[in-house]
Amino acid sequence: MTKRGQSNFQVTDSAARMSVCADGPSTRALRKYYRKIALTPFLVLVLAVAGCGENQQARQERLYGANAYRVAGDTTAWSNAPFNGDVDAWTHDIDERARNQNEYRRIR
Amino acid sequence: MRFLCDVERCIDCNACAVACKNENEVPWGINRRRVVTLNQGEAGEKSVSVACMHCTDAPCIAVCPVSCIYQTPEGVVLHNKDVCIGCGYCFYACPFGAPQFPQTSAFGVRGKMDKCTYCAGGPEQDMSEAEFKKYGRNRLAEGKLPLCAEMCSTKALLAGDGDVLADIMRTRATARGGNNELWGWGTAYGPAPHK
Repeated sequence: MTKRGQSNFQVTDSAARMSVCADGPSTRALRKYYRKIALTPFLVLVLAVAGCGENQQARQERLYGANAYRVAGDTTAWSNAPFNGDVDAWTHDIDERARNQNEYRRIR
Repeated sequence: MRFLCDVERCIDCNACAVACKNENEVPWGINRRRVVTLNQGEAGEKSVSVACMHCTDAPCIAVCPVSCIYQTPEGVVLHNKDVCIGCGYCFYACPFGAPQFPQTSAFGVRGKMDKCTYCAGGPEQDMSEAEFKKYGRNRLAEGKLPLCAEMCSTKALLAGDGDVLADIMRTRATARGGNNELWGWGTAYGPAPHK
């Protein structure tokens, strides 16, 4: 009986609401209705603007040239020990090692 | 910094590929360097050791959508594995097929790109454990050349500054009876950026 009564109550409640809208809505119901209608285009606008304002997620510049390593967060080969920034010493060592690949120089 | 493979000397021993794998602890399925033989089995066959050629105007840098590939002042092309998305564009752009992709799981799923670093590591702290794990040894920061070239028994594979390599090749060409027409890197393209 109780269950039936509850379900009856729900049915009558929603029916009453519908009847209110159909017959002549109260001010409160009308306000809710208009608020819903007004919110919809606003939400659509917010979503559209958020979609257009996508954040850049990747670096766009191409990393060529002498300063590319800085942008990439790297250091030069001679910046740490044992060269400690001495580019001339590094170049000398590398070139000397490269020249030693020439056996015509070694056997002379 | 350049690689130069003297095809008259390369004997297809693959020591360069082994040296690279051993020095950088390159995983299975990745070959940063390999030896390609043309006209194999025929008279006058030629072998050439191929890896990333560290191009001056590297096409992999141009096509990378996340700009993870960059050039160092000495002309080595490196990449950042933390930024790489493993898309494979660099593989299609590279004329040498240098970029490699480890198979991380079944059905050919690709991992982060891996390629020859000219034994120069990556953007991590030089000679650190993190750098070694991701990119291998940083011999350049130690004042050494890539091991593949330094290990080459016939000295077919050379590494170093373009002008120095041109000098070596000029000496060889003269010794072989050729005329001295090799201009050298500096004459053709100007001095290296770090000089």
